[in-house]
Amino acid sequence: MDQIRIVQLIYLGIYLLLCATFYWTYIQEARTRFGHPFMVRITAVMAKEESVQEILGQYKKRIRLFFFVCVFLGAIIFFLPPQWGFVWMILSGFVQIMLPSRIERTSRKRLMLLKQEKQWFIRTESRHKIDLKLDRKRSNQSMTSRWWFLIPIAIQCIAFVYCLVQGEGGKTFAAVCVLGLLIIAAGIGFIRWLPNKTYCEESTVNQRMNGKKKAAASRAWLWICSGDAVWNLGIAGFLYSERLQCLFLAGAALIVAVTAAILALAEYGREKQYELASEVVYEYDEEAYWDVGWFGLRYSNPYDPEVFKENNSGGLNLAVNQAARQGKWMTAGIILFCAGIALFVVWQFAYPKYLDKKGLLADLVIEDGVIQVTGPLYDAKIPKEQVVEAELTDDLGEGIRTNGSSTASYGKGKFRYDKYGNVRVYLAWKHRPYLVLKTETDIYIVNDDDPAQTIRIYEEIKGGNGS
Amino acid sequence: MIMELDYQSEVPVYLQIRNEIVKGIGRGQIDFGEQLPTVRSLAADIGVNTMTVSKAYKLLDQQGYIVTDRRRGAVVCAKNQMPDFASNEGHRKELILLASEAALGGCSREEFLDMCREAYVET
Repeated sequence: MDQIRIVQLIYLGIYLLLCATFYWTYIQEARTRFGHPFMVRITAVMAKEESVQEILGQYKKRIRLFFFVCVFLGAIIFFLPPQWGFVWMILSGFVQIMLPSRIERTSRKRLMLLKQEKQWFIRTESRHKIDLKLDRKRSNQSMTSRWWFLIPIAIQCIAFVYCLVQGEGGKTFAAVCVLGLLIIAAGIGFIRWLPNKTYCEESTVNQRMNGKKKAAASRAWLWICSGDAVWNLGIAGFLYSERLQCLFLAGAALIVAVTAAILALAEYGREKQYELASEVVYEYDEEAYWDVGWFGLRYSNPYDPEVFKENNSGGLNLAVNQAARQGKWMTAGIILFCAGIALFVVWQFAYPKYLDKKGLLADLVIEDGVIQVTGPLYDAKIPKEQVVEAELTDDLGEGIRTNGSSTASYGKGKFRYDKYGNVRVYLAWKHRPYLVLKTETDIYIVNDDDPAQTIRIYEEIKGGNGS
Repeated sequence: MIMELDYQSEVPVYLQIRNEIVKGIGRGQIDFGEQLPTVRSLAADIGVNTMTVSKAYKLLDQQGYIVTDRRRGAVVCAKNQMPDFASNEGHRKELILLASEAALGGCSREEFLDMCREAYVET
């Protein structure tokens, strides 16, 4: 199997995983088990009404049809080059989260209207209850011991050292490992600072439930961190030793970690139901604070101290309370992250394409005995006298990027080719021929986005070298 | 002890916290000498600014219901250290106002005293 096919298969795997995740996220919004489909509070008797069942049934049918079509559209990845396959995967991810939200919005509106028409009234607490006996320190004692977190920390450190010993090329990925370490610490700190919640009148039950919440969250976090660490190690192994097994190990570790994290949270959901079964649980009228935005259900309640709010999944899926202080920071972080990704995609794909179209991508010149390849995306200088051999070629053969960046328009950084070994590349891919320059220490592959200029420079070098 | 807060109320949140804590001590739900949650912890649990809780604790401290200590945090005072009720002119005025409102509202002296007896819990 060639490398392109492997990359396409990985993209398809991620695509299907996205489909499954979003399908599960949206379909469980119509469940009546927890008493609030689309976060509209209704009782079990109300849920059995034909009109409610009709709204929920229609919603489920539409969601199933949408994701059924999505799964088949995944095959498009095999007809696209890997970079466009990636773009397709990202764009379809957005479509998969945004379009079903419109279906949910309509269904939620219909259900709220029905509730209003039928004048269904459910008694809720008007005053917020806070248990003064709750102790955050005691809740934190239930968290998974910090010693367990040494496992992902150790794996991240191994991946970090492994990347560093690879030399220049490994530095970028080593930075990813450092980021992984920071994320582990941030997560632990965040769980420790999660506020206590008052579930019912019994202080002992409240304290126990808060302990269990933190225990489940920290256990899930430990799994996620461990999965991420093994993933980083596996990817580093694949990048620098080219062993495909590493890639599969990384993928398997991630799947195991995510599954274990989900199971930990699901267990908490079950325990919560069991613990609170015999208690009178405080219920607040929070319907008005829920809304369906372009990215699904969103929650914004300034009177609720909870940062993560359970939606209709029974604790497995959480919404960020956008009105809480920490929630505001998280929302801002998510927006910045998405904006960063969008800018990165534009920088990586759209901007080089624009430069290419305008003929501004790369200029190859010889000035004062120095071969210069310049452009908005890269800048390299090679002293002409150091060039011992020059070759003009249309075909570089098989190769991979080991460090740097590469899109359909341009390539920059370190590459490894079967024909040349390790090389430094500054190329406008679409404008053959390519000029291969060998010095005593390095091999450079460069060109101008004007093929005539590349040939002119080649001839000048050949003439100057007299070879 | 379950504290009840109404965020939509005209009564400021810090005053509601103060009132609920005094009510809790008076009804025996909070013990004398018991340590109250830290300002940061309670503020996070309620979902308000730390200044709000700090203001409530400061008021309780000024009125003599709690003592705040750098090492132990906020601690409920001992029973014999609680502020004297009868000598507080403010309380007398509030009681006169309440009694007048009760009388105007059609409540007899006996009914009013019954309500007072019911509300009063021996500590």
